[in-house]
Amino acid sequence: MSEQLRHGMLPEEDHDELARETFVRALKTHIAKEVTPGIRELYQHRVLPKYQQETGVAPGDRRAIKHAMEPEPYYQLWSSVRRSSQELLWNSVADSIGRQLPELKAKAAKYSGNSDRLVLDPNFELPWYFWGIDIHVMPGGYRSEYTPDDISAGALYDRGVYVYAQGQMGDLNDDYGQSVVHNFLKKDHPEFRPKRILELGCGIGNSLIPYADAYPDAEVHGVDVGPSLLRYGHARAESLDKRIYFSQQNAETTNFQDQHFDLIVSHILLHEVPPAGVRNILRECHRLLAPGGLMVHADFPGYANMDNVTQFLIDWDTRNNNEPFWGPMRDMDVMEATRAAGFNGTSPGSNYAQEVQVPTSRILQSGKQASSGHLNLLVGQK
Amino acid sequence: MNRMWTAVDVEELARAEPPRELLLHPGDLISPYARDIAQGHGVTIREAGTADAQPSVTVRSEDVASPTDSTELAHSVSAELVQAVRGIVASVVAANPEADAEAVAKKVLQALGAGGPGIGSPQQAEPLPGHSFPKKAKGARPQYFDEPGIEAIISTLLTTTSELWVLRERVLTLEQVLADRGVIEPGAVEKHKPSQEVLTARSNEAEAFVGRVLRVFHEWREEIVADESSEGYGEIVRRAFSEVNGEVNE
Repeated sequence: MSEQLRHGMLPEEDHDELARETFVRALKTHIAKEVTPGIRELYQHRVLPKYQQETGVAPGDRRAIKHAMEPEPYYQLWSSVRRSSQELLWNSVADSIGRQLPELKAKAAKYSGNSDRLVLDPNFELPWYFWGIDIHVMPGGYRSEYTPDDISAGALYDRGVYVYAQGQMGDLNDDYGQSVVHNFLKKDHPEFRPKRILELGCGIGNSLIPYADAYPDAEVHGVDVGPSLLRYGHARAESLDKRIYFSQQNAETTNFQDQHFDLIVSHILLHEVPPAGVRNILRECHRLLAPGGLMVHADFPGYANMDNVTQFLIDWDTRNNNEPFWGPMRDMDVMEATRAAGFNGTSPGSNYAQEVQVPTSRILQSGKQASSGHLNLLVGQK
Repeated sequence: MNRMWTAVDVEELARAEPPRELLLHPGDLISPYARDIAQGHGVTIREAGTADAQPSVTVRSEDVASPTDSTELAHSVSAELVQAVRGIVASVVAANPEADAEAVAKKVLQALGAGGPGIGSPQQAEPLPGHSFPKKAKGARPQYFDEPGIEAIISTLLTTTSELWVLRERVLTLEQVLADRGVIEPGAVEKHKPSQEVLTARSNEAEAFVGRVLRVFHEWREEIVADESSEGYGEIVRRAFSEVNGEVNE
């Protein structure tokens, strides 16, 4: 793993903290490369033949495979180790951030003077789906605050994601934004010059900065539910000399005017929202887009065209990695939802919806590394 | 007579000639697993009595709250609950005639003490006293082994292994620092040839080390040899408690 770019907000590990992160990365790599493939072997060699012998047929879908796999010791141990590795990851990073919280807050305070670029809402109503489960087992989730002017969730996300992704999201965790900008927008829409850009569910703005770089004349906005993420994201962007407007808003119902934006994007947001929320977000995008404007939601492909074993492997996260909306989003017909949101034209150029695959360099945990380096783009043009 | 449909019943149906259907009579129960198996095998679950209005419904376990208990009691309790919730809905609608479905749902959940439309409490995860952050994300931790203690052992073992690595890396760092400053030759540790005396001492220390790590075997052996039992221990405790009121049972 190369070193993460030392922007002005990045937490810094001491010797042992870095060693803990090195260990958890090695552990996750080992699980993905050496242990997860054993799950497919277990299914092929033991579970499938046994199931066929007992019932006369193969398991018909991923749920049946899950039920057949759950009593298997290899599956149990794999699951338990994976879950524990995720817990270890966040706790290792959180301990490091807890130690240096005063310094990090002092750094963030240097940039808080530009308060017109950071708007928090003390009366913000957290959507119900972030109440009970902290996404991807990150203690505190996206929404928590533990000290006044807290930035810890942002620091935890920035460093935790870098360690989780083995640095493969780039020195600034910006791979998804870079992939959309350079592998889609600049290629398929080379003349496109958005004046106003919005990212929904921007978090710390790590995916948003590539848009500010690619379209330097544009006004760039990001909204998210988490105040700590936004404070950190604001300070992080300012430390990198990027002018981005962060505000605490629900992506389903923002306070921007109709037709305010030429480009609306999101990165791995849709799978962190339940289907009704996804539909609301798509409708909100249609409302906010100017005529001719583009909407691009980068996420992972649906289950529809995957074999049952791959679905079963990927869907592990839904129940076991605090990703409750991972499976529902992949089962959902997002194209249909996009058309229902108003992108229902029949030819490109006006109110048109399409799905595009773009390559990324990311390695996922599905045990199929070669084919997983893609993002699914849900594209709508108004 | 109501019936409990199990996965075995569904698998039998799956082997039958099409149309593969399971007719669920009022009061019949089907296990969540059997529902999953039904969907996997393309067996349609039909609710008796609704056949005319809805020709067939394939039910997914993730879409419905299935009863997990096959007893009549569970059935009557859930019927009572449904009635109670209906009563609350009726009074909320009566008090708020203009409210739409979402607003009614929100108020009903508030009346039930949920505090809003979310699942669980809206409060954030809180750290224990004396800690800056919570160690655990909100959301129940899944259990994979029948025995929950095994989850704890695996979690602890991985953390211990992590700390072992931290120590190992510290030693590597020390060696590197010493070599960089010319205190030792690079690779001096690898090239080090311990004397016979040192080898013997280390061999003894290694045995003692293993003995400490695997102490539990000694404990178990001593217990076996001494014929110790939890009954014997319990007898001592029983006798001591019996002496509290001045009675001595000899």
